[in-house]
Amino acid sequence: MKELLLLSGLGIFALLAEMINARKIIFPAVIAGLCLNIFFCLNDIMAGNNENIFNMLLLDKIPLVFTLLLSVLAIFWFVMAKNYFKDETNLSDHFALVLFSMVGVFLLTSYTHMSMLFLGVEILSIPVYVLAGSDKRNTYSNEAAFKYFLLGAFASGFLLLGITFVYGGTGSFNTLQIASSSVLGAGVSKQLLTIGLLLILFAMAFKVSAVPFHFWTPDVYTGAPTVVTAYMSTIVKLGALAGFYRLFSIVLVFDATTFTTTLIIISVLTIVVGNVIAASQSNTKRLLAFSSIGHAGFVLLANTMLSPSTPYVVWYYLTAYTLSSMAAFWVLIKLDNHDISAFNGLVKRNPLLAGTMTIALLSMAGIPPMAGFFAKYFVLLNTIQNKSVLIAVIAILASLIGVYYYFKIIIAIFSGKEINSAKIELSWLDKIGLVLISILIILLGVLPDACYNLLFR
Amino acid sequence: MLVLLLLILPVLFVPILLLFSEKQSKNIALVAALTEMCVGFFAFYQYQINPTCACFNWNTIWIQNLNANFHLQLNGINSVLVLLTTLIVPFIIQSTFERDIKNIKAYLSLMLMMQTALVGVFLAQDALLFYIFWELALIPIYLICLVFGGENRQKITFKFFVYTLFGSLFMLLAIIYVWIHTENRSFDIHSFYKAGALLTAKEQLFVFIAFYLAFAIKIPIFPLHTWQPDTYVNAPTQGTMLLSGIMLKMGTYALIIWLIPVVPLGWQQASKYVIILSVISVVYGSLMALTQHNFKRMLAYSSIGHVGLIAAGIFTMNLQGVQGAMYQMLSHGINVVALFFVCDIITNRMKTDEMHKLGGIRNVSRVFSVLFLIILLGSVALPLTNGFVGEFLLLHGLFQYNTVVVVFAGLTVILGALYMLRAYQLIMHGDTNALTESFGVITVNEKILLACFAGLIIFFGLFPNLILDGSENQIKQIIDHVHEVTAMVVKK
Repeated sequence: MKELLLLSGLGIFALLAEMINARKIIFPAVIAGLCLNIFFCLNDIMAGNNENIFNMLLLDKIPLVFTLLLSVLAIFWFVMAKNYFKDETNLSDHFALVLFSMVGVFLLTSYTHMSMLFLGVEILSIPVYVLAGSDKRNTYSNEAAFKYFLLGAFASGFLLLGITFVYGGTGSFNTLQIASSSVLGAGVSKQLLTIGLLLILFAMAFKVSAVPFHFWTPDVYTGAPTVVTAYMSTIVKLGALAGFYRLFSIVLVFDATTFTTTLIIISVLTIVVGNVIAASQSNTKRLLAFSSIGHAGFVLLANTMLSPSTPYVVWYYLTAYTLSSMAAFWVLIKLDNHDISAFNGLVKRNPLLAGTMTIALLSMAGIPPMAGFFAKYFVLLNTIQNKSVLIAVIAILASLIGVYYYFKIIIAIFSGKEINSAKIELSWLDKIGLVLISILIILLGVLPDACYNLLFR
Repeated sequence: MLVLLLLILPVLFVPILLLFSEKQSKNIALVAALTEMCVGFFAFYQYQINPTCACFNWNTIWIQNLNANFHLQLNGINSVLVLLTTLIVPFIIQSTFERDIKNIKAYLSLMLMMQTALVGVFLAQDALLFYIFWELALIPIYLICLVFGGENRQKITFKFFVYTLFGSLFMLLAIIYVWIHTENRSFDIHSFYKAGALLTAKEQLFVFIAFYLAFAIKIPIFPLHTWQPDTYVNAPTQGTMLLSGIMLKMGTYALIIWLIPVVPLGWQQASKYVIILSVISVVYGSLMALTQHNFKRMLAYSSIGHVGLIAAGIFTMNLQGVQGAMYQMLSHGINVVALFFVCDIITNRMKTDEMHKLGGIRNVSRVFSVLFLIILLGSVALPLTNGFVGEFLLLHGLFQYNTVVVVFAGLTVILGALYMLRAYQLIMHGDTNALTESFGVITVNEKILLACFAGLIIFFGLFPNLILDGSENQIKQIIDHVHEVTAMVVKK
């Protein structure tokens, strides 16, 4: 409960800070709050608490581990976005919006009640609709917000309809009860349940931008301010995929056949389409948007291949991906524009940025010893163990395409002719953040089961 | 402990190297490589005396969930390759002396990192660790070629990278596949041997193909060689040396250790075809070398021919063939690095390596022409040079396998002499022209390096048993294991 209170409290504090003339302390207060949150999570994980909040949320190990990741990412994000907040007039609104959407992520990681699923999705999305349009004088930003909102609202409609159908089929909102009653089968309408779950699946697939519900992603990612794009491709993605995992890890147990096939088709399509289209992009933001679709596909595949290690595989993949993506966006923010040519000769302009970007891209491409390698490795392992060698081969080939476009950037960094040869200056906070994130990516890759021993055991 | 030291010593020097000035960094790198060489020699020597010493084994738990261990071990086969790596890298680093290279510190650090990865590949006794080092070796060499390479390097290095990564991903698939069939889910090489032997013939064939793709691309074997000539020509000299001298031995070494004994039945079914492919590379590489005008490109093609023969010898799976391959790996490493150094000396002075533009260098620099000739004869496999021992054993092994094959493979000796002597004739003989008159004398540093190479070539030509005795036992074990498994199936 305290994690939830802390996050919402921080949001409310940020909202009120402007009134009490405390603008200057918002940033340190938020960072301190998030550190406290990390401490709470670790404490609860170590103590093995299983807090049940009014039968709405269940804080067992998995939500706590995801919240831990969320807090770490949020700290990185706030440090990265510090300059973005500087020029904004309505500073506290932005802080509050981001913090509130994090509450949504928290709900999505821990819900056991369908209404909390819906609330989580909405609390997560609505602030992001606003943030996507926060560059008010930029038409693309407005377009992004508008597109995201319309399509997102539509998806929320599907979600709500799905929840209703499920309730009609089973007479319950509680995920565990839904699962158990549908296994027993007494007084349950299978058809209503299946339709309902499929509708929920589509809505969630929209949120995680799985193919064929991905069409909003590139435009929204490109149009939104870059820090917001970074936020969407890391924390929002984390929330959506964690919510997905929470529901379908239960659903898949009782109705494996229908949903496994659907999910496998969706995830394979997502991996292939995301990577193939990313290969032809020349705008880095767009490229990262499509590549994030491909990565979401891998997480979905991990979700589908159920085994005792699935929670860890999903968590590890998300950690590796979100950290690398955060690092990549961090570098992108420091550049002049978003074309790949902006990376030309970056190694001469700022070696730290070049190094971080290379590590991030190598990680996303799945090259050892970066974290991304073991992330993909674990997913492939589960896939092959489930006797789906063909799917593993497709995933491998698709990630080979990934290597192609990630290396376009690496080649530009190391051997491109620079257009603008001015050195790039970084603040000390940036430097610490970039070094820390690179070290984390490598450390996770060298000791892939350290987190397991620490958190999941 | 000793193996761990062997592994991390080069990388430990990287931060030290970065502290020094550009000029000093070359000396520091050389000190690093020489220290590593001493450790390498010591380990090799110790291994010959006391192979059971505990210092040759390092085993700690690495990833508990997957049952992967950080297991390094020095044994008869990889001690030769570790010897080769530690022996060659000082030469490669010294070849940067007297050359102007921008960002020399980064260049040298990448080389030292590469050395660690290469030693790791050879020492790893755990499949996952082997894979990690295998991939790890790719990143420094890719950056070396990308940042320091010649014209058009982006496209060429990219092709190289994707090609090799494509192969390695299939290897990863094969590793996972064998791993889920091991008894207690272990990546240990011996449990891989056990599990692989129990797979059905069809499964073994698929695993064989997946592994073969990775290794054949690295070596490279026809028709997967297309990345090689461009990459060799375009890479900086030291990059080419690393690639051809040591890195391709990763592939041939892995054939002996990680491919054939893991899936003996796969080998049994496929050996005919892979030997034919290897022999095609021998003939193809030699013929292509014969038609080249560019010296460096000619060396690249000749390398395809030589390593094709090594691979063919390994796939025969008899003692002479595999022992010959072991020896030829060592001597090819020395010879090809020496030849690329010769090529570097010529291009550094003449600014071209088109052979028909050169000629008559013999008249200008006598010492150079003598040393070049010795190195070249090593590559031609003249008796008393190291190339002879390896090729003789390889052809002997192939002869036991099939007489027709050996006729074609034997062409390497004739064609090798042909293209090498033709190159020598074009570059060194004839009349001195306006360009080659300016060749001048070679510097002391270059003289020392070339003389060392020539010395090594003759030394290993005279005392092959130093190497062959050490690896014989283990190779026998592997061959016995393979034949045992295949014989068992015949009985069934």
